[in-house]
Amino acid sequence: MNPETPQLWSKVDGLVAQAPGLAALRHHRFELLAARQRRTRGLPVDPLLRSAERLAAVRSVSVRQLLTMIRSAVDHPLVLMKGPEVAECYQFPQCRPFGDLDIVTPDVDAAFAALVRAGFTEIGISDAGHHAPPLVWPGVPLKVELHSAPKYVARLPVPSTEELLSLTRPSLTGIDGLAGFVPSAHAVLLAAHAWAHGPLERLGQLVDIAAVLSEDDAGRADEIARDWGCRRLWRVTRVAIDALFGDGAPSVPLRTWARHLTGSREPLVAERSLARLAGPVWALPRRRIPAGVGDELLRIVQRCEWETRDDQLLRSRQALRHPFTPVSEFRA
Amino acid sequence: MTNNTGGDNMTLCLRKEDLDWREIDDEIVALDGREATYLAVQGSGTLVWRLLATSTTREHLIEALVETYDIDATRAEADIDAFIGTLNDRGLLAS
Repeated sequence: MNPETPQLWSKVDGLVAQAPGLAALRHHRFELLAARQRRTRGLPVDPLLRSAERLAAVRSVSVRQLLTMIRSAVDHPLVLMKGPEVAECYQFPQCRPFGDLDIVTPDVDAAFAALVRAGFTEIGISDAGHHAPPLVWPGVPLKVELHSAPKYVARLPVPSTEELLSLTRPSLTGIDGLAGFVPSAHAVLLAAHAWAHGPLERLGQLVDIAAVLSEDDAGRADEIARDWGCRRLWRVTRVAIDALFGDGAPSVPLRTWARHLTGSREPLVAERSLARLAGPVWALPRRRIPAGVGDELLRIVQRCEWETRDDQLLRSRQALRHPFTPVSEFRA
Repeated sequence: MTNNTGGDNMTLCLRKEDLDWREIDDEIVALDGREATYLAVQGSGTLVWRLLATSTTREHLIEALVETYDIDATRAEADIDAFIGTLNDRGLLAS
């Protein structure tokens, strides 16, 4: 646990308690925190939360052995990011869920081949080219994803693998030879990665950043964000974190397009669309904003890979008819 | 008592190597790395597992079971011996 963040966990506790239901807890990745909180308070724990805990426990006990096997199979540098590396910074590490191991390595193809030779099995296909197809060890419910660079925000320059590898330290998991990112770099990478999935969308992603980053590292993180060209994205994320987990006043995003965060609720369909358009405006360097907004408009209207044109039209029509539906109900 | 559970005052302890577990409320989820198998322990087994994690004796385990579950010593002895026997058969106890 980051010893400088007792206020963080107290605020997180409050945000977990006010989540309006299971769908909101799941959206913000608060299921494990909620289960622990309810048990601590003597409240009944929903069977779905218990199931989430059991799966998380199975994954958690598997991590050490899996990482040791990966480390011994691959000769190249390996840097663990997110998941169990972040969990080590949580007040209660078992409350940080993860379903995969994200590993940055300079030669993804060689590492991938080495893991297949060692007995790992390929599943599915890579989702967007930012990592190789996921691998699993038979019987272990954890995916292994190898990256040369993390998923990043469109129209922002991705830091080079060499630069990323220069910002490492021994992994907090304690696995010999496995690295993790220094807290300042890890926090900025987590912010960019979270933003790429959805601007200020999930509280759990913001908790991760706050847990990783101590006050001592904050200045260095600002420098890294500036050097990587993501200063605006980082500043918006920091201000949101200060407001949600510290003493900062609610920022404009938290009062408008990301206001679902302050109530620990799911975003509505309309809010998510608005957030997608607002994201580039708030995150990108000013000269790249028009192109970024254009990208997002295209993303909203274009077909997903798995959709037929009819599916896509139906989805668009439903979104227009039910703009105030929580996103989980809309997907269903 | 069966032979493989040790005497009353013999120290009993879970194996330290290749055995990892997490506790969820009243349940233990464990991974036996040597056999690559997952185990789940519930109810009174969780109490016994906790005590074995820090090393204990058969006598202490029986006392703990009697005290916590308000059962008679004969039944507690039988339960402890069965549980310890299972752990021993699976190679989960320190030798």
